[in-house]
Formats: sequence, C-alpha cells, structure tokens
Amino acid sequence: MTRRIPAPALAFAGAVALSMALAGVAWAYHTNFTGAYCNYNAPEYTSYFTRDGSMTVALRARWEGYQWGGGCWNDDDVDQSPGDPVERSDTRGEGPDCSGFTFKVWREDLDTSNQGAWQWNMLRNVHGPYSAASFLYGVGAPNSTYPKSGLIRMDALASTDHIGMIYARNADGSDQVIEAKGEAYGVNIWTRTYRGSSAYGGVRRLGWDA
Amino acid sequence: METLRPSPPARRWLRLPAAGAAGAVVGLAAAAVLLLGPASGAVGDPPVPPALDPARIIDATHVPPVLTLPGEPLTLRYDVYCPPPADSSRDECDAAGTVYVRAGDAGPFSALPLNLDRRAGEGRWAARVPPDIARSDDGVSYYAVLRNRTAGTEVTLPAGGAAAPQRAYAAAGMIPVELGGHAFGRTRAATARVFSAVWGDGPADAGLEGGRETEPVGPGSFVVGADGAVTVLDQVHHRALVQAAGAPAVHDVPLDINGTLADLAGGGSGPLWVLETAGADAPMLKEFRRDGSAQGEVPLGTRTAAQLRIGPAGPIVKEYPSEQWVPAVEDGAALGLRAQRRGAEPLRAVSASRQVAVVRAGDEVRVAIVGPGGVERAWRVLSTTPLAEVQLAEPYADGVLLVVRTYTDTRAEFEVVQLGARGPVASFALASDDWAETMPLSRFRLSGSSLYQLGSTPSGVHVDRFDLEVAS
Repeated sequence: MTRRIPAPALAFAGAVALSMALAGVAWAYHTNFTGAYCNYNAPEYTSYFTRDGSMTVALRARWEGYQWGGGCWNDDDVDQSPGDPVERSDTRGEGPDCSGFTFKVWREDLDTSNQGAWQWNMLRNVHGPYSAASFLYGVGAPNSTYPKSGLIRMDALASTDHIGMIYARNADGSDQVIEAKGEAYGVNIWTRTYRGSSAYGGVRRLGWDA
Repeated sequence: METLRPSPPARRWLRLPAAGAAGAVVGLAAAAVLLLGPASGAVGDPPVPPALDPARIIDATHVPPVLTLPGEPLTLRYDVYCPPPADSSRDECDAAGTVYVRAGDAGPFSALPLNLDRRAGEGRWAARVPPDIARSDDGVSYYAVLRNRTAGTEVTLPAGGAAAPQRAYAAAGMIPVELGGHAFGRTRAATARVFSAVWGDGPADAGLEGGRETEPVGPGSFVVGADGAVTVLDQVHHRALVQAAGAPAVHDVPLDINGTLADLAGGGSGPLWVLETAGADAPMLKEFRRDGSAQGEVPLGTRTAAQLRIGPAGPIVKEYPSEQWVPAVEDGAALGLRAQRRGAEPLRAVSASRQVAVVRAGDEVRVAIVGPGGVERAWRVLSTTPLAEVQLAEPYADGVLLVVRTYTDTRAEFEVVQLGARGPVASFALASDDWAETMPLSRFRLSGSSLYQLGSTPSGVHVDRFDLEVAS
C-alpha cells in the first residue's frame, strides 16, 4: 500500500533542501560572525572625547577582519571570517569597512545633523551613514574638509573609494595610517602616502575636547 | 449575476499550490533559522566573544628629529596610547614615560621625565634635551620607555632600547637649497618606457586589486638590475614579471606570496626578496631563487614594516614606530627577533661605512651623508609648496639624488633634485602617475645614471626611465 505525502509537507521539505543547497556555497564562507556575536545595543553618550580616546577605540580593532558594509568586531586579534567574497555586504563577517571603521572610531551619531559623540561598543553592528566619498566631501555635521598639510593624528585622508585615519606622521614625510583596508588586509596600521596623493583629501572630525 | 468560479478540478489544483506555498514559506523560514542562527538580527545578549584584555594595549609614536642645526633646541616628543582606567571619567590613558639621552653614541644615558603638554596636538609627551647634550657635535642618542600606569604595561621605543637607540645628528654647514613655489604642469617626459603591462589576467598582464570595496591597488614594487632588466612584483597574480633588457616580451616568475601589497628587493644574479606587509603572518620577509622557488622566510618582530632594501650585509627593513632599519638576514643567516632589535640602525646603510639620513619637517627636507666620523655633507631643501613623502634619497655623484612629492589639496607631482657638493646640480618635476596604489615608498629606483619610476594609468602599469644629465 502506498501512502501519499501531503503537498504542504513536500513543499516544506523541498524548500528546506533547496535553501540549504543554494546556501551550500555560501556556507563555506558564512562564519555568521555578526549573527553569533553582534548586537544592536544603544551607544553611550560621551560628553568628553579625545583623539587619544579614539586611538584606543581604533587599536582594539587591529588584526580584526574586514567586512564591506560592516561594523562589528571583537578584540581577539584574529580575523574570524577570512576569505569572504569581496564586494558583498551580506557575508556577515567580522570587522568594519573603511568608512564604518571611521564612523565608529570617530564616535559619530547616526543622525548626520548631530555633532555629538557616542561610544559604540565594538560588538555593536553599525556602519553609520557615511561612505568614503561622503567623508571626503565633508558630509555631516561632525565632519569637515581640511587642508591636507595641516592634518594631525586622528584626522583622516579620504578618496572616493577609501578612507584611513592618521595614526602618526613619519620622519620621511609619509604617514602611519590606521584603516580597514580590504578583505585580504583587515584592520591594521600601515605606512601610506595618501597625504601627497591628489586622489585624497583631508577630513577632520569636529568637536574634539583634546 | 453568477460569479464565475473555476471548475472543481481546477479548484483542486489551486488548493494544492496554496497548501504547498504555505509549506514552502514555513520551509524557507526554517532554513533561514538553520542558516542564520537564532541571533541573526536579534536584539539581546549575544554569546561572550573571546576578547583579549584591553589593558594589554600600549603603543607609542615618535617623529625622530634625525638631523639638527647647530644650536637648535631639541625637544623629543611622543604620543602614547592605552585604555583609560576603568573608573576614570577621562578619555585618555594614565601614561608616563622617561626618555634616556646621552651626547654622541657612547657613555651613560641621562633620564629625563616626559611631561604631558596638553596644548600640543601631537607629541603630547615631551622632554627638552638639556643644551649641553643637545649641542654636542656628535649629536645625541636616546630611547624612551612609555608606561600605562594603571595596568603596568610599558613599551620601549626603539624596541632595542639602550642597545640600539635612536640618533639625532648635528649637521653643521647644511647646504641650503631653495625650491621656491612648485610650478605644476611642467613635468619631464621619460627617456624611455622600459616596461608596460595592461591590467588583466593574461600571461603578461598585471593584476589589479580593486572594485567597489577598495581603491585600485596595482603591482607593489619593482627593481632594476645592473643590466637594465626590470622586475615588477605582480602580487595579485602571485608572481614577478621580468622584462630583460632587449627581450621581446616579459616572462613571469611564480612566487608563493599572499597577494597583498608587498615590497621587492634583490634580483639580478641574486635572490628575490619580498616583504609581506599584510596578512596573518605579516610582516614577513620571503626569499626566492631566480626561478621563483622558495628559499626561506624570516618573521619580522616589527609593528609596521614599509620598505625593503638591500644593505651591505643583506636585506634591511624600515620599521615603525621605531623608524629604524632592521636587519633581517646577515651574511646569509636569518636573524631572530632579539638580534633584529639589537641590530636596528636609525639610518639606512648604503655601504659598509656610509649611511643616508633624511627627514622631512614641515616644508623642508634635510638630507645628509653620514660616515664613521659623523655627518660628511648635508643639505637643507626648502619649499613654499607643501612637501609630502621622500620617495628616494640615494648617493649619486658627489651628493645625493632626492625625490620628494610636492602637493596641494588637488594636485601632486614629484620633485627630483640632484644635490651636489656645492648645492643643487639639477632638478626637474615628474608626474605623479599614481592611479593605482603601490607600496608607499617604492615608486622610484636609481640604477646607474638613470632614475626609474613605477607608474600607472586606468589602462595599465609601466616603468619609465629618466636618464640623469650628470653621470655618477
């Protein structure tokens, strides 16, 4: 005797199987870091914020990963999601991208008209409203274009494609830049010559207390 | 009027998909839960990640003065970064530091406390060197120890401490060179294009990293052999492209590298050296035979490495924040981290007995040839247009060939200045040619009496040769 399987059950099983099969390729790189670790907790208002303090925020992201459109990382000095496909904002990997990193290190508000400072927990998954290009053009109340020759630590150099923050000046005229460089690079400090490149402009976060 | 209804069989076929669709929706939802995990997009307490103790973080930066004028006051400035105390309402770490200074390069160091200069934008921890030390004809040597007073962690800068201190050389009689204001748009044309490749993935194409995620990154570096052969590091394709002098086409040499921005040195009849600056194992120096087979690798105990050059005893690497040249291999033997730190030198050795000193301060570049007896010859290059990085400073003829970037907020070119015993011998400007990113300080090489530039456009990468008018 044969027993017919009900259509809804067949469709259910098919959908699960199809979804899992389609996701099979993605599964190889989906570490689902953001799903496992990240949160959407509210940031903490900061009444006194300094370049030194933002440096410390940035340093906790060193050696962590890069996620295009991302903004969540832990502080274990390991990229938890290496080798994700590039140019994909849905890979749920660890780390920020360049503009998300700058937003979080500069402790900005999601409201672009607000210049106030907010301490975002590193596990708060937030990218912020700015792209590298919008930083370049000084979009938003906290951001301003600034002459490149006058930039100091924790100011930024931005192009239409990328932004990095100045960590230190070097004696040879280059800069140490702390940046989320790309999937293969993650977040770290590198020596760069963005200051002299005509593709880059200077950007300053406004409102530092020191 | 009767409403038209499907016939019973048709209604049955509609019922089945409706039920199936419901099942499919539930199935898709179940798959989503399986794939994404219950925490995806959820508000709440996530599992605790394996974070490290933030109190471990301490880092310091310092711009060494390198070359001082006679009588010039000498203040050593540092920035130090560590987390603020947990119970503090302040944003900065509770830091302190001491700089140890002495005249010349021998004898005991004097300890100077670093004081916080709250008005300074950079170099907030400062110590003024006493005039009797600062005015020494032999310059000063020094190192600093910076501390996080809350956690008790500390960092020594340079890492070698008293065994390999930083130096500031006194340079009497610097030859002034006034560049004035830079006139953009008057650049020199190349003598010859000695290498070119289009962007692509073909056998002779150059790899380009880029897209929406990042800016264009092209070949990181290049070298020019004594015979004129040009070797370009095509790191995206994990290989080097070699254009032998007079050869009709390039040939490639596969290299086991990680594909990120890297520097290149050596070549010719010797091995190729690659400095990997990004990735889990970086910074790392790798050695390859001429056929590309791996010969060895040397982990580098530096925070940031940016330049690879060949010194008198082997490859040396410019590292930050110490701003010293670290030996990685000496006479064929790889050095361990301790030996690297202790062997670090503040200046780049260009022969067994001579070094080149270079520092950009504001719109001024100071350059010197330093020998066993101290500064042999020095120049002070002044510009009213801002100067960025010094790309090249190599001994040439009776002086130094200097390549420095000059820029405004919208334009940039390279200024090439041949510095001679009596002053500038020749100077000319070169286009930036920097559409794609390279290693930061590896756009130029000097070989014989020709200067070579690694350049790029939206269509490809090239190396141009500029013959210098005064032979070495």
